[in-house]
Amino acid sequence: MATRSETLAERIPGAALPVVLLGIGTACVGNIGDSGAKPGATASCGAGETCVAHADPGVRLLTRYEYDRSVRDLLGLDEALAEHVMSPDPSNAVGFENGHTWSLSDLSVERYLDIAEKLAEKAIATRWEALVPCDRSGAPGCGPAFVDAFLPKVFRRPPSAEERDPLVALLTAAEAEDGFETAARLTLTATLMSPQFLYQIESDHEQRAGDVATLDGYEVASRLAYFLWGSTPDDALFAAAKSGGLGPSRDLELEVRRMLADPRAEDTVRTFHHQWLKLDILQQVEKDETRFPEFDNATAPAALYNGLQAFLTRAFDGGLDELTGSRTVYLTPSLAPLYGVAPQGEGLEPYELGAGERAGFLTQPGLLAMLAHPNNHSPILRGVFLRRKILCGDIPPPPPGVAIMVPQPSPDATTRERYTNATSNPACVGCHGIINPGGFLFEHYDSLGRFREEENGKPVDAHGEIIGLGDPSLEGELPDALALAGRLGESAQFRGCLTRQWVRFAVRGPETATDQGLIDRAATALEDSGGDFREMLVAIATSDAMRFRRIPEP
Amino acid sequence: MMSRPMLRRTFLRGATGAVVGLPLLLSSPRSDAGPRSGDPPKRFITIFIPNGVVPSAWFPTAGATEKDFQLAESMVSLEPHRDRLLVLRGVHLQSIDPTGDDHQQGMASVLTGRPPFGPSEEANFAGGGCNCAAGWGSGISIDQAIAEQIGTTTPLKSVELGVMALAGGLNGASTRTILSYSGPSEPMFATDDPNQVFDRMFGNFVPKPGGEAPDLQRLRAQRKSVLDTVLGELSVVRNRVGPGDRARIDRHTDLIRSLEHRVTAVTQPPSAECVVPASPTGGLDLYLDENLPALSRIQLDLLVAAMTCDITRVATFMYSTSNGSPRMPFPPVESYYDGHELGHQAIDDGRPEALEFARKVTWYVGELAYLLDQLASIPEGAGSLLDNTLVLFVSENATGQHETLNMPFLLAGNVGGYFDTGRYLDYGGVSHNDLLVSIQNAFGIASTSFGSEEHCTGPLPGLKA
Repeated sequence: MATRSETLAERIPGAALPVVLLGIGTACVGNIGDSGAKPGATASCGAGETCVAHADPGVRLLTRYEYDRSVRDLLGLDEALAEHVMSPDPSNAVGFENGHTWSLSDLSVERYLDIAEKLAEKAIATRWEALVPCDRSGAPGCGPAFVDAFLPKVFRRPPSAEERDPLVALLTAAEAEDGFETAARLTLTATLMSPQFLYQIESDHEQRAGDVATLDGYEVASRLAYFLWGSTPDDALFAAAKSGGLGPSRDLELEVRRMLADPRAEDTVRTFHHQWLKLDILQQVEKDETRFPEFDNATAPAALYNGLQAFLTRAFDGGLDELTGSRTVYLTPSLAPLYGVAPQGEGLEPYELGAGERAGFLTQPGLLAMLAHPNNHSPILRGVFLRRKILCGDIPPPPPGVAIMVPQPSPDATTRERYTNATSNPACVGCHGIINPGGFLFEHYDSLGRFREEENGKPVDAHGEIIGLGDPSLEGELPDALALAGRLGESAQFRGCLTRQWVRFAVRGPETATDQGLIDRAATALEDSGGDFREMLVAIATSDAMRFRRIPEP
Repeated sequence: MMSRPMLRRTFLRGATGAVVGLPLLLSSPRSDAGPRSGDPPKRFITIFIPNGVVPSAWFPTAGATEKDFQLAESMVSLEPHRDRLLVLRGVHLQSIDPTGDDHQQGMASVLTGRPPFGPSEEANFAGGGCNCAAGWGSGISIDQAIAEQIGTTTPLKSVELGVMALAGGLNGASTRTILSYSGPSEPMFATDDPNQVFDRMFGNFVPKPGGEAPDLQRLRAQRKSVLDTVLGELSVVRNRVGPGDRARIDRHTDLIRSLEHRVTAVTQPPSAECVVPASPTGGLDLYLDENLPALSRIQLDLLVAAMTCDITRVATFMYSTSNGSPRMPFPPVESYYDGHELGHQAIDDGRPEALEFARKVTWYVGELAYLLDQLASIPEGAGSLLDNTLVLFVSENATGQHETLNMPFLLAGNVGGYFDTGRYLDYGGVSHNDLLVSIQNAFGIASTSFGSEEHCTGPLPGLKA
C-alpha cells in the first residue's frame, strides 16, 4: 500500500513545485525543503506493494486535444474543432495539462453542442458508409444496430441498457418525425454530448482496498490510450480490455508495445514535448523588428516550432544520444538563409549545420529563440530553463521587493558583461551564481538562435558551469553548450529529470514521493536500453499508476 | 503522422471548420416589441487592463471641489466624458491573502472581493516570483452576480470578451487569466476570436419581421430531444461515480438545463436601434501585438452591437491578462518592450520606463473613450445607451510593481442616474469590497456586503446621487 497517512496538503505542498531534495548545499537553493516534498530515497514502494500515489477524480474532462483526437479516431474526421473553439486547458503546477482543473461554463457547453452538431452533420455527409450499417433511408433494425456498434466506442466500454435504450428511443422518435438520416445525425450529436464521451469516467468500484480502487479493464484501456495516444482506445485495445488482458502480465506489455509502435503515439510525443518545454511560448514569440528585420514575426515562429518538433520527434525514435548530440536542424526554405545554409526543397528539410555549432535539442534554433526577449537573448531565461525544466533543479524566486531590470542591448558591453553586471548585487549573487553560469553556456547563440563567434567585435565567451545538482558526471566547468551536450547523455540527473517529466505527464500532475520508485524504474529502463525512450514508456505504462486509482478524501 | 502543424491562431471566416451549421442560439435580438415600456434596461461592462498604471499619470489633480479636477495624462481622452466619470483614489485591494503570487491574488480578488483558493489537486497554478501557487478564484464575481440579477431575460446572460486574453504560454488558462467567476472555482474564459464572439451573439441568423421560419422551430425541437437525452445520461452517470465526483456531474447537469432553456427560447423581433453587424472579416493574427488596435475595435464594436440589440446586458472585456506582456509597437505608443517587465521597471519617478508604461495605459484609456463614445451615440429613451450603463475600469494591481494600495478604479456612466458622476473622490484607504457593494446596489442587489465579509463595511459613502 502507498502511505495512507499522506494528506492532500503533503502531496501538494503549500505551493511550490515539489522538487525532490537533491542535497544542494548552497544558500540559494537551501529552502527547497520548505516545499514539503519528501526525499525520494525514503519513500519508494516495497516489493509486492501497490504503488499508486495520486488521488484522482473519477471523472476527468478530456482536454481539447484529447477531444479532437478521439473524434478523429471515432468518426474519421480530423477537424480539430475543439482546439479552435474550446477554452484552453489549464496546466497544473508542473506544466502539464490534465483536464482535472476544468470547470465548465455556459459558454463551454454551448461550444460542445455547436461542435457536436457540426461533427455529426459532417459525419453524416461524408462518413455514412463507415458508421451506419444500412443506406440513408434506413432499414428494419438498422437504428439499434448503429447505436450498438457505435456507442461502446464512444463510451469506451459496453453501455448498460439504461444508457443505451434512451439513445435508441431518441433515434426511433426522430426517425418518425424527420426521417432516418436526420435521426442518425441527432443520435450522433447526442452521443458526442454525452458525459460518457466528454469525461474519462472511473466508477466508484466495489473493488477497493482502503482508498485504492482496482480499475477494470476498460478503465485501464482508457488510461493507456489517453496516455500513449491522447485518444480513445481502438478495437484491439477494447478487445484486450474485454478479455481481461490488461492485468499485470506479458500481454499488457505486448499491448503497450503495440500502442507505442502505432503512429498515434507520435501525437503524444509531440504533446509531451510541447507541454514539457512550454513550446506555446515559441509559437507566439515575437522579435523586435527594428533589431531583427530579417525575422518575419508572422511566419517564422510557426516554422521554428515545427522544425523543433520535427527534431524532437526524430530524436524520440533515435534515442537519448540523438536527443543530446544530433547536429541536425529542420528549417523551412525561408528560414535556411537566416541560419547560414542554402534553401532546399519546399517545406521543412533537415540540415547539418557547421561542425562545432550544434549538438542536441538544447542548441536547436527554436528553443534558443524562445528563451529570449524581443530585442536580445537572455542568459537568465536560458539558465533558469536549463536548471528547472531540463535538470529538475530548483531555483527560488528573486527576493521580495527587487525591481527586475532586464539589461538592454548596448554596443559598449557584451550580453555576458551586462548580465553579470546587472546581477552583481550581493543579494542576487546567491542564485545568479548558479543561474548565469548555466545560461552563459549558450552565449554562442543570439536572439534568433543563430550561431556567432563574436559580439560587439569581441570573441564570444561561452564558458560556464553546472553547480550543485549532486551529479558528478554533469557538474563542473564547461567551455560551452556543446560540452554540456556531451555530458547530458551520461548524466543520471538528466535521465532522471526527463523520466520525471514523463511521469508527471502520465499521472497528470506533480509527482509525489511515492512516485520515486516508478521514476527510478523507468530511468533504469532508459539507461539499460542504451537510451531507448520507448523502454522508459513501457516501464511507466505497465506500472501500477495505470491500473489503480486512489480515491480522493471527501 | 497524423499531427498537424500547430499554427498561430488567426481568425478567419469558417476557421472553426468546413461545416457551416445553423447558429447555435438563433439569438434574434430581443426587444419589448414596440415602444419600450418602463425604464430602459441597465447594463454593466467591466474593462480590464493588466499590470496597473503609473500613478502620477493616472490620478487627477484635485481642485477646490470634487467636481473641479484636472485629468492627468492617462485620462485626457476622457475629457469629453468627464461629467460621467467617477475617478476613485484611496481604494485598496484588501481581500487578498498570502495564497498565490501578486498577479494571481489581484486577478482572483478584483471582481470577486475574495482571495483565490489555495492550490489543490483540482487546480494548482504555480505562481511567479514566489514559492507559491494558487487555485481558482473562490467566489462569484460582481459581473456574474449582476448578471444573475439583470441578465436572465436576454439571450446571453453575459459575455466575456478578450483581446489577447488567452495568449497561452506563461499566461495560458490559470488564475492569472480569469477575471470573471460564476461561482467558486467556476472560471469564465474570455473569447479572443471575434468570429466566435459574433457567432455566439448573432449567428448567421438575421432576424426578419413576420416570425420564424418553420425549420427553426424544428431545429429547436430537435435540440430539445438531444439535450433531454443528454440529461438522462447525466443522471445515469451520477449514480455510477463516487460521492466526491457527483458535484461535477451536478454542475454539468445544471449547465445543460440552462443551455436547453436558451436554445429553445422563442425569439422576438429586434428593436429599431438594433443593427446586426456584419460578420468580422478575418485574417488578423489574434496574438500578434501589432494587431492590438484592430482587434480592440472589432471586439468593442461587437460589444456595443450586442448591448444595443439587447443580446446581453453584462460584459467583461479583458485586454491581455494579468502578467500579460503585449508590446504596443505602434504609434503613438511605440513600446517594443515586454509589457509585464516594463511594468516592473516603471517606477514612478519620471524614469523613461515609467513614461513608456504610462503611454500604454493612455492607449487603453483611449479605447475606453471610444467605447463611451459609441455607447453615447446610441439613442435610448430620452438619452443614450451610456446613460443606462455602468462601465467599471480595473486592473489587478495598482502599479507594475504589484502594489495593492490606491487601485486604479474608474467608473463611467451613472447607470440611470444612480451615481453622482463627474467627480474625483479620494477615500483615503477603504477596501475595494465596498466599491463592489456600491456597484451591486446600483443594479438592485440590496446586500451591504460582497465577497469577504471582513472587508465589507457597506457601500462607499457619497457615491450615490
